[in-house]
Amino acid sequence: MSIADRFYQALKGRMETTRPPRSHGAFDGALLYNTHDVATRSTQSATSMCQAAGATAAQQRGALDAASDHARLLVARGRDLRATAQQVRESLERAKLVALNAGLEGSRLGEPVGKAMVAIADEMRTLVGRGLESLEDHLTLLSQVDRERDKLQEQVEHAGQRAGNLAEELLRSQAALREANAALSKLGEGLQRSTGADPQMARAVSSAAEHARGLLDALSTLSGHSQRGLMWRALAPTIKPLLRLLRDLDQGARAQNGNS
Amino acid sequence: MAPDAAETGGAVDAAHTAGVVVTLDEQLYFVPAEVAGRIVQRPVVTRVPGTHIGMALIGGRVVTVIHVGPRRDELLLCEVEGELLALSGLSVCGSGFYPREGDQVRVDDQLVPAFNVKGALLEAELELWTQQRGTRNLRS
Repeated sequence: MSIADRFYQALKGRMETTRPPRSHGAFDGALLYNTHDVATRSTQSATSMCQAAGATAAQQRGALDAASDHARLLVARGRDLRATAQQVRESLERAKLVALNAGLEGSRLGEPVGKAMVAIADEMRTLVGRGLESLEDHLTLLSQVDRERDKLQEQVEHAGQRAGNLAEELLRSQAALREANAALSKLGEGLQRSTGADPQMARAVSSAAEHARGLLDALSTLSGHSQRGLMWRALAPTIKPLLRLLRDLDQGARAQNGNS
Repeated sequence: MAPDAAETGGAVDAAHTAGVVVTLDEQLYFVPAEVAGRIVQRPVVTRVPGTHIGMALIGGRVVTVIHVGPRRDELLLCEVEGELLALSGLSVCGSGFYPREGDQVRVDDQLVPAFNVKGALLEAELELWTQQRGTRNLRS
């Protein structure tokens, strides 16, 4: 089971076992809406990231498949190289025989006529011998390259399989996240029904509460300062309309409570 | 067979002898130019069952091949008493003039004995006769 699957199952289980609250205040509703919004944004963001990761994994799989094809082509090229090397070896072996026969014929001619021929044949045989040794070295290196290439091909194929598994896992994660999104959407609807609050209003209350907390913290820090008069003059143009607004809200709430 | 030095007008001095140096079982041997004809690429050799002898077509002639060592890619074509034969299993590692010391030659400070080509031929013939006699005994 993937991480996303486990997350979804845990969330689902939590939702099923959590009892619906009997009553909510406006602030509780606002907090719930805020939390719901955060969860929705997170799952949407996770879905996008999963999609991007899935696309990257698919591209990687494609690149690894191409690398594996190239490694297979290298096998064919290696065979061609061996065939060419075999032809070179046969030619050198024949040249060696020619040199030996030339030396024999030269020695049969006797000195001084054949001496030059024997010397040239010796030189040619030495050069051909060096050529054959180098060819053997090349063939040994080619065998090493073959072994390294086989290992490379094996590793590329394994990496391709792993990339494929990763792509499948990411697809499953995307599906799980889509389900989580759908569940969160239903949760939002249920929240609206149970709290009876307007989502826009609840969000505005939540936002105002957050800002009010921030303002309170800032004013608490300034309260111990010696130049209070100066600070009040600086803050008054902003604070006074806020106080008026809060008073109006309070009076409105009291009037509403009195009517009910 | 290749002409000898006397026919071509050349001369090998008394201290040197012409021929090829071969290896068999990591031991060096010398085959004189009077016996050694040339070195050829190994053709298809048809073996005579139960013997170390084979037959091959070399330069348009059917030649007896005597196997004296493990299979190699070359054959040493020799002439013994007018008879053409090829030795298989020898590795030719040099040809030219070599300093003579008695029945042997000196190759890189090493005394190298002559390879007994005639002996190899006689041995092969004996083997062939023994084989033929064995077949006759079986028939009778």
